[in-house]
Amino acid sequence: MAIDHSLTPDRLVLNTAAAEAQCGCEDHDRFAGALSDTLDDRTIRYVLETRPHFEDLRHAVGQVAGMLVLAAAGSKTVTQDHPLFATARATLERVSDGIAAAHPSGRALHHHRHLIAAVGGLGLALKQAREDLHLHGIDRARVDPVLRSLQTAYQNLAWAAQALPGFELISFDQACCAPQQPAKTH
Amino acid sequence: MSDYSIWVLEYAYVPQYHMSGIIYGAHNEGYRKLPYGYVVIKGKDRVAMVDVGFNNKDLGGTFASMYGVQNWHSPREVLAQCGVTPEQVTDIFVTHAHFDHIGGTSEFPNAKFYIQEQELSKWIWAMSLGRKFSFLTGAIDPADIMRMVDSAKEGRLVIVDGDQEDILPGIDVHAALDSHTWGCMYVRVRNDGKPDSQDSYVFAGDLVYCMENLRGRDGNEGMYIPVGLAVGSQMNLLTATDRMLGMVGNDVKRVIPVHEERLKDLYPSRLNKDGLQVIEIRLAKGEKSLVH
Repeated sequence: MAIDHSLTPDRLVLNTAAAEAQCGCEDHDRFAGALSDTLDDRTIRYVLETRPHFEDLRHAVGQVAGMLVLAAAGSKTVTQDHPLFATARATLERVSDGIAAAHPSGRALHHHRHLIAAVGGLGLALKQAREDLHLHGIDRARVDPVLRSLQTAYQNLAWAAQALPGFELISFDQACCAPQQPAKTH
Repeated sequence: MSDYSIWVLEYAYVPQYHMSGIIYGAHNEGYRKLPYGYVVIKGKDRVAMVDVGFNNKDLGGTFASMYGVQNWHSPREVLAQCGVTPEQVTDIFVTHAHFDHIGGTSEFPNAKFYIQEQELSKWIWAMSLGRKFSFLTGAIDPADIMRMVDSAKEGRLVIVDGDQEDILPGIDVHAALDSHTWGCMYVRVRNDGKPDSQDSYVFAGDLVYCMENLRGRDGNEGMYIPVGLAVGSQMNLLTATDRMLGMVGNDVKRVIPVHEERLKDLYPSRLNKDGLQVIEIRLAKGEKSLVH
């Protein structure tokens, strides 16, 4: 597989929401400040391998978060059998397999740990959604357990985004007010 | 007589923002200062805002270092200029869910938030399209959406479906669907309170960045030009522009783009001690001017 060495720190968001919170891992700050400098080929291969899974997880977390907002706002259309929950479950299944099959280098172990935890959080959120978001109206309080698990999933994605370059929770370059990224040179 | 006092308060800025982001097609034309601001509408025992800026605690460091956003000040500091605390804000109109407009919601514990249903529902749908379509979803932070869950549970989130008149007395919201985002919303203040108001202002969110979007450019005066980013269609941006202008008698000065640096020249304004603009659109009776 060709290695894309165009990953450089200036093109990458290293950190997004919940940046101040520490994950508690012993290796949390081990490579801080020199993320790209420390990447070996095996780690880069891991980044390329798991980046699509990370993005899919972000999408699924966002989907469920959006559904929760609508549910908590009293929407009657958000129920446990809403097709987008099924889509998120299918995504989770696919991503779980992909992440389990990834081969993290030593440098990437910290990242991989948080990806696995994010999968766990999303899985729990979807399980709770299936149990708690009933067909006929929603008790707003029952949104809480789903939300907490979802926040766990997101937090782990944020920590993963901090652990290695190449993982973004938000595309700053697509914001209405954010200057566009320079074009890639070939 | 004005029912509401209205200010545009700058809370940060990018000194050099590329022109093609502001004006569609303006490639290789250099840079312009891009102010970040929100609107405060005060009167009738309410304090309303249009948008709340971004969450600097979570995002600011990254944002500032990557894109040169400078001089961010918190809502508490900025609102203090008009004698308001975040806790006193009663209503917030979220024009769209991009992180730099919705990210600061947690600063306002008592406010009711208004957002278009389609802004959420179609974003959720776009998320299901997968990463090949990430362009459609990238600027919305799932964390911002999760923060809205708490507001919703507390009954402080109002999902608006399309246009709604008198959402507050003399204040209407209008949808611009499938335009800059899926469910953009703009806010009309009829400051004389009349249904056929002759004293209206429209707060455009990011449907308009600058005066050129409203009135064209040299050689093309009178021609609408869309902003540089849309997940919907340019046509919908232009029809929204036409509709907004129609609400204010085609007076371009009354469609307010908070990102327009020259807004300070169109209305009374001053630079505060932190180097941020305070722009006074209107003063209600008995309200003290912030700029004189």
